[in-house]
Amino acid sequence: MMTSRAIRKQRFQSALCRALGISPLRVGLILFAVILLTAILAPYLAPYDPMALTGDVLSPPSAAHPLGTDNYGRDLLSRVMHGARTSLLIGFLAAGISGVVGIAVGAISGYFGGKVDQILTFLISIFDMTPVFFLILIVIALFGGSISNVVIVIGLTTWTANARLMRAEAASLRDRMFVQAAETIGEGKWRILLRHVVPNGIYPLIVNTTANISAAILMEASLSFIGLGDSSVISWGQIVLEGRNMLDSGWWVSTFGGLAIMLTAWTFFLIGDGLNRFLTPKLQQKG
Amino acid sequence: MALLEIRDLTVRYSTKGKSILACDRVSLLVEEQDSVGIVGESGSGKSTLAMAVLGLLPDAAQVEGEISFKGVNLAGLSDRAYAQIRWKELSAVFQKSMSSLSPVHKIGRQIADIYRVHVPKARDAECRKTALEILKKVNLPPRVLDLYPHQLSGGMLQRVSIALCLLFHPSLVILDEATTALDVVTEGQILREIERLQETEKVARLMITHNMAVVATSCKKVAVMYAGRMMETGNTADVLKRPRHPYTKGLIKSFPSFTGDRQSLRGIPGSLPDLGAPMPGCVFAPRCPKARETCASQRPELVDIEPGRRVACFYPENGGAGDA
Amino acid sequence: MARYLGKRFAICMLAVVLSVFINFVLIRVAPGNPIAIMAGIDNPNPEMIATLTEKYGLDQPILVQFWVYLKNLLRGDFGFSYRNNLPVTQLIGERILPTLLLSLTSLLISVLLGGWMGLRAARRKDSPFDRFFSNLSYMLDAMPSFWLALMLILLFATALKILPTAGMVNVRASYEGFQKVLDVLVHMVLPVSCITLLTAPSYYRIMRSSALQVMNEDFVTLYRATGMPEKDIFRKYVLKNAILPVVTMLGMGLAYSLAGVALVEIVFAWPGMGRLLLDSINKRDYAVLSGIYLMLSMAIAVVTVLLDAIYAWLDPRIRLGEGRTREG
Repeated sequence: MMTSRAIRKQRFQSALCRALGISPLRVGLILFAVILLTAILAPYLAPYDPMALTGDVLSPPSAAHPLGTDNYGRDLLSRVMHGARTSLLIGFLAAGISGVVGIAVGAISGYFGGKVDQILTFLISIFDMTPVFFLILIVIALFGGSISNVVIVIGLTTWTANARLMRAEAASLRDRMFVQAAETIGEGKWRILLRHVVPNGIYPLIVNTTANISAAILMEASLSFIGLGDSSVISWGQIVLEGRNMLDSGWWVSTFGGLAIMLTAWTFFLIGDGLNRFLTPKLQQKG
Repeated sequence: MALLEIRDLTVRYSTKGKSILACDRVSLLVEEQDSVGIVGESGSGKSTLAMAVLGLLPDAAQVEGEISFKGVNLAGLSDRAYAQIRWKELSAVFQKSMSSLSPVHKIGRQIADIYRVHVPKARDAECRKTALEILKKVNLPPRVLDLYPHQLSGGMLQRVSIALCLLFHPSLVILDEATTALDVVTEGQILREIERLQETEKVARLMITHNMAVVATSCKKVAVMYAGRMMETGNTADVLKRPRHPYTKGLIKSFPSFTGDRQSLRGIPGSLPDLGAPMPGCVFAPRCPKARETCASQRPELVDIEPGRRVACFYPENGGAGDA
Repeated sequence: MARYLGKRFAICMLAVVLSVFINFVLIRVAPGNPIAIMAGIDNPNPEMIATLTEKYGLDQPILVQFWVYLKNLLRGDFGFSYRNNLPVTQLIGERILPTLLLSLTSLLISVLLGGWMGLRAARRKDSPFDRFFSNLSYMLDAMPSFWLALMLILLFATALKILPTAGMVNVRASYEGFQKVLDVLVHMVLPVSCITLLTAPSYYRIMRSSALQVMNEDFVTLYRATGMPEKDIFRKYVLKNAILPVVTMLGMGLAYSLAGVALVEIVFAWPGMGRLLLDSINKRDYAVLSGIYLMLSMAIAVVTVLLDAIYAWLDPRIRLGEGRTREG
């Protein structure tokens, strides 16, 4: 019989070994590294100040401005680089909140079972059916589009997939030996939940979280595009919105703004897909 | 000529440098109207053997050796040629499961569809008539035709599967763990049905199971497999009374018997070897209480030690249930 | 079957109740004056305050307010938009047909296209076809709906000039009859393609994974053993079994695709709900926003119940119940 820590270690090690050999994952990780570095180092890497009005108004991509400039003459490349900070920040934080809520609801529901499980499952089903985007719209319209609001409301409305996954894991872990052993010893249920159930059941959620990050980034972009985002920061959605009126005269603005969104969301899908591929065989071998 | 002769069958799965031998030079003989039971633990290769004969191995499997069925070598046979003998000469019954048959189609429809595989122009009336005939053979009422699989009990479902396998009066039927998922009482009933049908249909059967008792009560001959290799074959009564291979002996001892003295149950210590690692000697040697030096370095071949009895062991038991 | 449907129906009803509840709570906890929010105007005059207070019982205890709110809803009163001087239901009613036209057409095409591709991919698992479309599906998922719409306009309308840029009809030419239908169809090409590209990938994946799962079932092995040709097995048995989970998934994906439809409508200036949504956001016309949200919740609930009913009917295990006949 293996201890839960030993099982976790074994899974992680073999997973890591296989991970680095798979190509979609590799591509995704490389892209992710690039985007992350760009986001973190934007103030230093960007060729221009994203708010600065250079002389060239609405000029197409050139050597001086690789992505062109917008109708105020601001360098698009710099703006896109700074936009990465907003998107990644919101993506990670929102997915984080979504993860925490999902894990909590799912773990409790799956591990404790019974009436608690029934009620929570009901809650999950109901939440799944609400038109989340429109709810977020209303909340942001009412409370304002600051980053914290956006992060919180996205996090609090996209947790259902995580909850379902965690619930399934918790329910099956409940019957595994090391959990039953811990129960027999007399470890408190909440301790077992936190120390054994959650850490061991978290694997499918890792993949889902990458999808959540993508979804959060897309969601935020959509909000900015409608004008509900935080106007004090640079956001890719906002760039696309700005470019909308200049489609024929300045196609590069919307195009590159949206391309950044797409590449970033795609990166996380690649990572998620790659992770999925090598985590799944292990997951299928349930104790 | 034997109905089915398997000679040195090897089934290999190669992935990324590792080679797993699911079957390692397995040989077996099945005569007309024979009833042979293949016994083994999980991982013994018995199901792989069945799938190899049926031609249902995944594409990744590499097959070597010969599977001679009525003079035709099934190993490496083309799909088209295989289609000629499938179900008409060679059929199967699989383990009962939630999806032994399509859950969303009626039984009658599925029987008709299978019938039409080989009789393409059959009209509905003919299909129905045939279906009713085979249902009668397994003592099932006609109304079963209009039911869905989930509406039948486990035993009834297996009866349908058995009726199906006899649709075209094949010469050989392979039953792969056909009674494993049934409760003991139903299992007994189904086994009796199978025996009776074998008499009336004059068909040979190959029963794959991990349960020695099933073979003991319903098969005339037995073949014992372990880790992809054949350990012992012979008449069931003989093998059970005087097992020659140490593994067979251990296997018999690990099953309780209803009759006879109370004996302590002994499992076989140790566990299955890694089928991906090369094993020069006898594959059972690591767990064998009687293993000696030769056993680790040389592989014992399956040889006749008496008429009708073959063992793959350098130091076979001389019989007698008394020794420890 | 009745019990299964009853349970699903209850969930749907509760989902609507949750939306109603959320709506109710939100305006009261949001920063600002609830009355101002409801009116959609920053500084409502005393007359307006009085009317609203009376109508929604704003001076009464919370529970009474909720009751009043519910009563109004049940009467079909989804609120009044003071900005437009029309009841919300009327505003939505005027825009709903164009939206339905777009979304239903796109839904049909995406399910059929995505489903068919998914099945083909399952049959040719790991083939170049399969890998290409699986990768494509991820890429399409990553595209922001509004951006794809803009790119399509850029390519086909602005650059190639073969399709109209926006709108549902060519307002300058007043077509009638058949010409009008044609005109609408031409205007529909880009938005429908856009929505289809955005929603088909998930149906592709669902169908593919469903078919793959079915292909691993025992009865498929059985049919192969009988010598049934693979394509027959697929057509007769895999298909019908694989479709079942897709029906349920259709409902789940609905809530997500609505967002895409709204954004695409906005970009294409389609005279539907999307534009109403944008206008209301810009004007902070909360009454309309909450009305749309509620209507959509109800629509999702209704569609989900319908889909569940279809599923229950298609699956004999549910339609006929789990009753087993005894040994014959």
